[in-house]
Amino acid sequence: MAPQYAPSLRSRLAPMLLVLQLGFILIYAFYIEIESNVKVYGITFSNLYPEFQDVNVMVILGFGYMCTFLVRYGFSGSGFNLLVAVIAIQWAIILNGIENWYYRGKIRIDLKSLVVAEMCAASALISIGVVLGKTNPVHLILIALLEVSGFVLNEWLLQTLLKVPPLNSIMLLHIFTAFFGLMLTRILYRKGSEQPFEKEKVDRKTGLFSILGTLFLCVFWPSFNSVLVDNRTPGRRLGAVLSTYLALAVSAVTAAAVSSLSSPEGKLNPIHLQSCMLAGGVSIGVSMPAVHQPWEALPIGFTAAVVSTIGFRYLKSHMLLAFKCHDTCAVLSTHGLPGLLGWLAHLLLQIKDCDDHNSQKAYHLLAQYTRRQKFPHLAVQK
Amino acid sequence: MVFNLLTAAFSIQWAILVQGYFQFSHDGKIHLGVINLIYAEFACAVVLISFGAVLGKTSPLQLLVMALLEVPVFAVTEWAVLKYLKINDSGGSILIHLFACYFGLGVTFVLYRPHLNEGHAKANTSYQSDILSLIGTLFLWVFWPSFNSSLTLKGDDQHRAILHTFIGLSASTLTAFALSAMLNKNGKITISDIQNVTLAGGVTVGASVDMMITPAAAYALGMMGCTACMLGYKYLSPFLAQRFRIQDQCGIHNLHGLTGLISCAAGICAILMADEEMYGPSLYEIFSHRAPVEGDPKLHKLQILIPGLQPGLGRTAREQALFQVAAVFSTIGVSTLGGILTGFVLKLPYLASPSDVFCFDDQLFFEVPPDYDSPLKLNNIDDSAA
Repeated sequence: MAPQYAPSLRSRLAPMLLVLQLGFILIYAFYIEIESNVKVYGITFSNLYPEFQDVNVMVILGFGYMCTFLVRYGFSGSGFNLLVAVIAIQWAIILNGIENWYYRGKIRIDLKSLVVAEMCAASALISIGVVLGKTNPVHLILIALLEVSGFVLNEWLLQTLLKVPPLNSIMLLHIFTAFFGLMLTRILYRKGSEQPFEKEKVDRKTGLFSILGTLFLCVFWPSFNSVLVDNRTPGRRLGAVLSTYLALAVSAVTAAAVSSLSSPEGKLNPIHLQSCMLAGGVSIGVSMPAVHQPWEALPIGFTAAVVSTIGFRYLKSHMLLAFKCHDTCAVLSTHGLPGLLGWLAHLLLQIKDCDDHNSQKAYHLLAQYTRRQKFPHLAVQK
Repeated sequence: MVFNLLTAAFSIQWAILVQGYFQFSHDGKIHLGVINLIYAEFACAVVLISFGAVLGKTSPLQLLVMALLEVPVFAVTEWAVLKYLKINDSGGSILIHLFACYFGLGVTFVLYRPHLNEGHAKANTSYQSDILSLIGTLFLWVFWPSFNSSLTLKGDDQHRAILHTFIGLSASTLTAFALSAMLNKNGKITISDIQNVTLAGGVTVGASVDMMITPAAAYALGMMGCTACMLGYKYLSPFLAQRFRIQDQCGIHNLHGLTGLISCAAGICAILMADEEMYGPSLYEIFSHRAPVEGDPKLHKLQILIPGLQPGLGRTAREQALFQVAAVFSTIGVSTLGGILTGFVLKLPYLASPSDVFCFDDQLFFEVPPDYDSPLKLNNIDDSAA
């Protein structure tokens, strides 16, 4: 096919970025100042810097290099990742501070607000993974702005109306971003998606770069999950780190097994290993507030990897044919389904650990009822 | 990459000794701590930045000799500036970046190769090498806040340094993408711009990073630094190569020189605008040479507010700013002179400088694998399955 020339970015990308940046400068000039009187060894700063750098590496290097798996999209994958991350972080700092601005007239930022903003940026980056290769950078900027706005709005609704603790609402980013991206790609569906794209291929070299990105993500995921955990209860943050690590380890092993099982020649698919290894981290992240014992982390990682690998293998073509969603990075099986699984695990673990008198009574009644049904002669006399 | 490692390892060891002699020795022995390593790493960064100016045109021997000569010059400059001029430069924009840039330019001025002015057949990149280079850029991007904040005071200063650096880098990233698309004929983004210019913001906020410039100022500095750097790459570097015989291979003048100068100017403005109303008594902690002299009653009052405040020189803001200007000029002067002298030393025949044909070629120094000679793929040829 003859090459078709895309409209020039010069008149579109450049003015948009410059106007956006100048707009940010104006907003920051009038409304944002840096938190002062930071306690030197307190909660706000020194404790957080190493974890902040870990999250920073994940967002910029990890996601960036993971998106270079496409053979002809390496520059765009990593370059636009940096661009979108930077825009999303700046916008997220502003949005997260709006509530502060409403009550106090100024937004004060410190390292923690930067960390939270980086997590919101991570959600934007996962969404653009769904449309990877099919958009131009102007689209990506708009996606970043709107997705971060939507995510922060979602967080606010959860925290204000449903009284969800902030940690839980942020960790739901995986679910939010997966479905945001899927709907995006549904709307942006192209006729040409029905045939497999000629350039949507993985090469040996780009596959290695992509694994490098995944390794960065894996190595620093415990920090990502544990940075916002409240350390006032001793051992909670350590618990988060350990659960994440164990879940990632289990999901890596399981992903290898399922990948080998589901392949006709019994071979391992490296892309399965990459994406589905992260599935463990995703689901443990969503369920982390309820995971108190190490043994609870392992089955979560296990199930996440199984679901994710099977989903990766079969869902991608299914989503394309049935729902007209062409998911480039298979985000549904890497973030969406494991996220939902993590949510379910969270629910079940909370019910199990619940001290609430009413639900205990309900639990006992349920137990008695089943006993009475199965073993009528053993029914407890009321 | 390997030369980088070699030069870095050599420079760090040599710098620990030299800087230790000037700054950390008591009782005839150099006392070692992590702070020595940090200072040595800064010296190492200086050498590696200068290396960028002569990338591909030297042999490893020449690089080691350059490091051998550059580190003492840097150490003496650093010691003299810090001890006698006493300036505020937490991110090292003056001492590190300006010094390294002008030293490198001095060396490359002497090592001018007239035949390289039309470019070199081997001095181009490939798709894979560009992506690998981007990893390096992203590592620098991610850890730059640590670089800028390592020598600041703990607490608020370090916190501010980290946030300002992050903001400066963010601003320069956005502007880099915008300008790259804007200055290109077809509106396409050039990856080497992204590799180099996104880091300009980190250098530009360097001199004023721990002062109370607002986040907006950090943004503005990032944008200005990025613009200067990009325009430098497009227009200044070719001009210097053709008219002034300065063949700056990696464009370090743009990324470190121009941005360093902007950073100094910004630092001077920030110093002139700093007053007690904004900073409170911590003004005398950050600008420690503005603290009242020993014996001044004001010192006692301040020491009640900030226990442990050291007496300073009682300088006014204007005096401090003038000292900063003096430091800039002296750094540039000493580094250029040092660079030129080092360049003459590097021309010694014993040091095996590569000939013009063998520039930008690993084969001269390394055992290379069999697929080394595969022809470089040129841009714009569509060689996917068509």
